[in-house]
This record gives sequence, structure tokens and C-alpha cells, in this order.
Amino acid sequence: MTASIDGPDLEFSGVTKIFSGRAVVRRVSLTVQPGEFIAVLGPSGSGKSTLLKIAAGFEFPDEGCILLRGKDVTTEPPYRRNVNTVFQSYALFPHMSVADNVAYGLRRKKVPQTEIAHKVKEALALVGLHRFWDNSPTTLSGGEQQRVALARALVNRPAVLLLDEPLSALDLKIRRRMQIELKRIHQEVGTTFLFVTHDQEEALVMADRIVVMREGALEQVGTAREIYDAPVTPFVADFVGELNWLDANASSGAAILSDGAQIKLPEASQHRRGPVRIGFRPEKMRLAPIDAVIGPQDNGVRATITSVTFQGPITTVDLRLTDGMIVRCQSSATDTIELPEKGGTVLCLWQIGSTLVFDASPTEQT
Amino acid sequence: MQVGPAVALFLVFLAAPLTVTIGMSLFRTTIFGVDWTLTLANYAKFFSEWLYTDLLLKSLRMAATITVVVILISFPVAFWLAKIVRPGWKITLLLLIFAPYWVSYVIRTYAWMPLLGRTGVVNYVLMSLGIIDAPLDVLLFNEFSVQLVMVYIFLPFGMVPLYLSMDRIDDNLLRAAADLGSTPASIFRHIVLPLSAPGLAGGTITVFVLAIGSYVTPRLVGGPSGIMFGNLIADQFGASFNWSWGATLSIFLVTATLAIVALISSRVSLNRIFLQP
Ligand SMILES: Nc1ncnc2c1ncn2[C@@H]1O[C@H](COP(=O)(O)OP(=O)(O)O)[C@@H](O)[C@H]1O
Ligand SMILES: [Mg+2]
Repeated sequence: MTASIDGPDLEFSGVTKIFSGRAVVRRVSLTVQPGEFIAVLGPSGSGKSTLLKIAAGFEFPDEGCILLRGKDVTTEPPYRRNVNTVFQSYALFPHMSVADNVAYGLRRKKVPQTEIAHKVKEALALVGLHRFWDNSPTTLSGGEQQRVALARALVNRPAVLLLDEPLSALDLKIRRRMQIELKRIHQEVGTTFLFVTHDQEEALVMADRIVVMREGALEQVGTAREIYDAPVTPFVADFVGELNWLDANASSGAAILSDGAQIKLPEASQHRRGPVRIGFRPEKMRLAPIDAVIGPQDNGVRATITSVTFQGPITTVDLRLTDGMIVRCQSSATDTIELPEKGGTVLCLWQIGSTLVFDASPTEQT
Repeated sequence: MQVGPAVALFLVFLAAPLTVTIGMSLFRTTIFGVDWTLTLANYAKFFSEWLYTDLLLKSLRMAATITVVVILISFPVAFWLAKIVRPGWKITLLLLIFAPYWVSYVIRTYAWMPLLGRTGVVNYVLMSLGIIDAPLDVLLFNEFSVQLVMVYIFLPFGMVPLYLSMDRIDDNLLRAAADLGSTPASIFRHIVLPLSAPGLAGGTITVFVLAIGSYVTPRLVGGPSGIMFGNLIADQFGASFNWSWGATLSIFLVTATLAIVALISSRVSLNRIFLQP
């Protein structure tokens, strides 16, 4: 059902938006391919909603342009753009039935009545709400309202569907279910999705590609795996998932901690010299007996266990390194060693390949 | 008892005066005082001469005109205040618009006389600009001036309910409508108008009821041709001292007013007017 034409569905090209002297979106360039599910991820206030509003036509950029299926729509009003939005607050029309809400866009386009009835039925079936045809949207639960909003947008077959934190008003359980549901609907209709969220887990679970935003600018664009395993800045590394940080001094392929312990650097970071920040994920870490041998592919540091928290599927162990720095280990493998008591000393191991190295410049500290 | 206070209010402010009024209308006042025999003579008198029905119809027409003009002015201004003005500016603008209304109703009516009179500001400006040669008499002491001044005086009663019901329309509803292909005109027709219907009905009823019962403004700026039904009633309780006739006229006015209110509220339920969802 995607466009028969070639080329991207949506393109931001050098888009900047200024509110009262402050650039809220800065020189954003992004190309969205037909059928892609893209998550725009960033902390609150990073400009995600503004970027989406610019695509929808609710705001106009101060610089740059927006192309929709190759056509420049930068100055077009919303009603002349082939995109539709799903709002966080649902924004269903309270004075209309569910069916009239869904039919709204088709009626504005003067689609024949019989065709409207057919399409509305189809759209409501897609989101599993055909029984609620005549209901007032105000009588529906949050999850149901969000489905109506989705049907109301998708029934128009937009080139791109824009979703602004559509699930964040729902409670956790329903949110999980809607994430799966939304993914299914995306696959079923094949429409391009541009999905804004501040929830990194949601972005990782749902998107083909993730766009990380920070203070209005794109920090990194990539697949979930790229963003998670190879973050290009400490900000991305910290925002997506948890990270252990160690301050060290790099020289000839290794970084030295203040107590003299050595961290071997991965191939790409061998050239580094001077102060660096070393990062590694808690779940990539294993604990081993203090006298274990550190393999040639591994990094290892000694640490004292400060607490052990059993959380069902995983166990979280907090440790203190001999130079005082704190690290955390999250593991399902409780059988690697018999965990010593709190206060015991162990060896923390992780692969050299999963060691992240960043500049220690103070501005990048988070 | 939840309904206790409401019942008390109803008895004191509505049922009691209405009963007294109906009671009074059933006697006749003569030059010797009240004749205490029950009679429908007052009602017969009302229909015996066209004068009274004519004045009632004319007053209904004037009140309707005033209401329509107030609503036509209020709609765009209320929309502008509720949806276009930046939130930080709203209070300032509301205060600026309503500041004149802190001054007494009577003073605000008098203020129009130096504006509209033969030697008033409007005539002066028109003559200095050479648009007219002689001062216009049509500006004051007629139906026009009564309606003009009452539109001005009752404007807030139309504007406030409209502003309140527009202010509670979620901005995202307007965005959603535009997003789904609505032009500004279509957004107005399909979203703004239906969602502000409670405020529209509330404002319409309030302005109409206030206008139809007015007698101070017609007295001050109406002249002989601008007189309204309220003046006729007021005269019976004043100069003519014919309370039973005044009571009868009041009942006709109340009946006509209630009929109009019932007509409006049959279109928009009273629930939605007073308990906006
Ligand atoms: N209409 C506006 N006027 C002024 N500032 C705005 C406006 N809209 C958003 N902002 C500011 O722009 C920044 C980014 O907002 P937004 O795009 O909503 O971020 P996000 O959706 O990532 O939380 C915020 O600091 C916000 O206060
Ligand atoms: Mg937002």
C-alpha cells in the first residue's frame, strides 16, 4: 500500500525553528523512507513535538524545508498536506460519535457516502473497535480512545502518520499491549510512521530506526542496535539504557584507572591519549571469583560487592572499585559464580568489544 | 436535604412574586382604589386595543435585534480572545475590554448622549469632514439609539459565556480538524460552532431577557419612538399608580420571554448551558 513512486516519503532539510530567540529545532535533516517506522527519541523539551508540528503544518520553520513525497510543502497549511497526526491527548471530537470521528477526514474530501461507510468500518475493524461505532468517544477508555484516534488518522491513507507520544498517557500494561498492537498495524497497512517518544525502551522495541534528539539537534540516527551498542556520544549512551562510567587516562591502547588498573581499549579507540571516559553496560558484565584469569578478549577490574538485589529474572549487583568508583552489574547468569556475601571481593569482567570510549571533556558529562 | 436551598430560592425569588403578580392582575384598580372582586377585565383590556400587542411585538423585535448584534460582535472577539491571543495576554485584554463596565449602567447610558446628540461628537466629526451639511437627528431619541446603547451595555453578557465555552475547546481539536483536511471555515462550522453552542445559547438567553425587560435605557435615550414595553409597565407602578394593570402587563411580558427561552433551550439542552461538560 506504500507509494508507487520512488524516493523518500518525508524529508526534513536543514530545518530550524526559533521561539523567542531560542532555536528549539536546529538544522535538522532527516530522510524517511516509505514504510519505515521511525522513533524520535529525546528528553522532554528537546524539540520532538515541534519537529512533528513542522511536518504536520502546525508550525512553520524559520529555515530549511519539508518535502512530502518529493513535493515541497514547507509553507502549505495542514489541510493541504497528505499527513495525519495522532495526538497524545487523543483530540477526539467530543460532540461526534466514534464513526463520525473516523469519517471526518473522508467527509472533508467529499468521498461518496457509501465508500465512507465501508472505509470507516474497515478502519475500526483494523483497530478492533467495530462494536463501538455509535458510542460517544467520551465513554471509551484511554486505550480505546487512542485506537479511535489511530483509525481516524489511518483511514485517510496519509503518506506519513505522525504520532506524538501516543501511548504516554496510558498505564504501563495497556501501553505494552498498544506497542505490540501499533507494530502489527504498521505492518498491516505499511504506512510510514514517525513516532515521538521520550521512553527509550519504547523506541528500542518499536522502531526500525531511532532518531535521538538533544536540545533541538539530531544527536544520532540509526537502528536500535547501532544506537544501543555504538552510541556516538555519552549523551546517547546514557539516555538509551544504563551505563557504568569510569574516568581514566588513555595511553598506548589502554586506559589506566587512578588505582593503576588497566582497561584495554577496542580497536577503533587505540589511538586515544589523555583523559577519557570509559563506559560499559551493566548487563554486559559478568562476575567471577577474584582469582579467575582475565581472558585476552576481556577487561577485568576488582571490586567489592556493596549490595545484591534479586529481581526475579535478573539480579542487580552494585559494586565499588578499589579507587572508589561505583559500578553496577545486571545479570541473569547467577550460576557463573557462587555470589560472595555483601562485602566480598570479585572480578568484574566484560568484553573489550563492548567497551565504549569517549572524550572526557567536561561539557559532555551528563 | 440537597434541594433545600434551591427550593427556598425558588419560593422567595420566583414563586412568591409570580403568585403575587398573578393575584394582583385579577383585580381592578379604580380611581377609588382597588376593587376587590375577581375579574379578567385586565386581560380583556390588553386585547381590546392593538396598542399593547404592538408595543410588546416591537419590544420583542428590538430585543431580538439587540441580541443578534451582540452575538455577532461577541463571536469573533470571543474566539480571538480564547484561541488566538497568547495566554499571557488574555487577562490584560479581558480587563481592558471590560474596564468600562465597572462604571454604573446609568452613567454608561448617559455617556452616549454627548456622542449622539445634535451638537454631539458624531455630528461634529461628520460635519467637519463635510460628509453632512446639517446635524443628523436620527442618532438620538429613537429606536436606533436605544438598540445601539443596549448592544453596548449588554455586550459582556453575550461575550463572557461565549468566551468561556470557547476557552475550554482543546486547541488540539482545532489542530486535529485542520490535520484531517478542514479549512478554517470548515473548522468553525464543524468544531467551534457546535462546541460553543452552550455558550451561544446561554449568552443569547441572558442578553434577550435583559433587553426585553429594560426600561432605564429606553427612558434615557429612547424619546417617544424608542419606548419599550418595560416603560409601560414601570409607568403603571409609578405615575399611573395602576398596580393591577401593571401586573397584567408583566404577566404578558414574562409569558413571551419564557416562550422564547423555551424555544432556545429546546435546541440546546439546559444541562449543557449551565453544566458544560
Ligand atoms: N509555541 C511555543 N512558543 C514558545 N516556546 C515553545 C513553543 N512550543 C514549544 N516551545 C519550547 O520549545 C522547546 C521544545 O518543545 P517541544 O518541541 O514540545 O519538546 P518535546 O516535545 O521534545 O518535549 C521547549 O522548551 C518549549 O518550551
Ligand atoms: Mg512533546
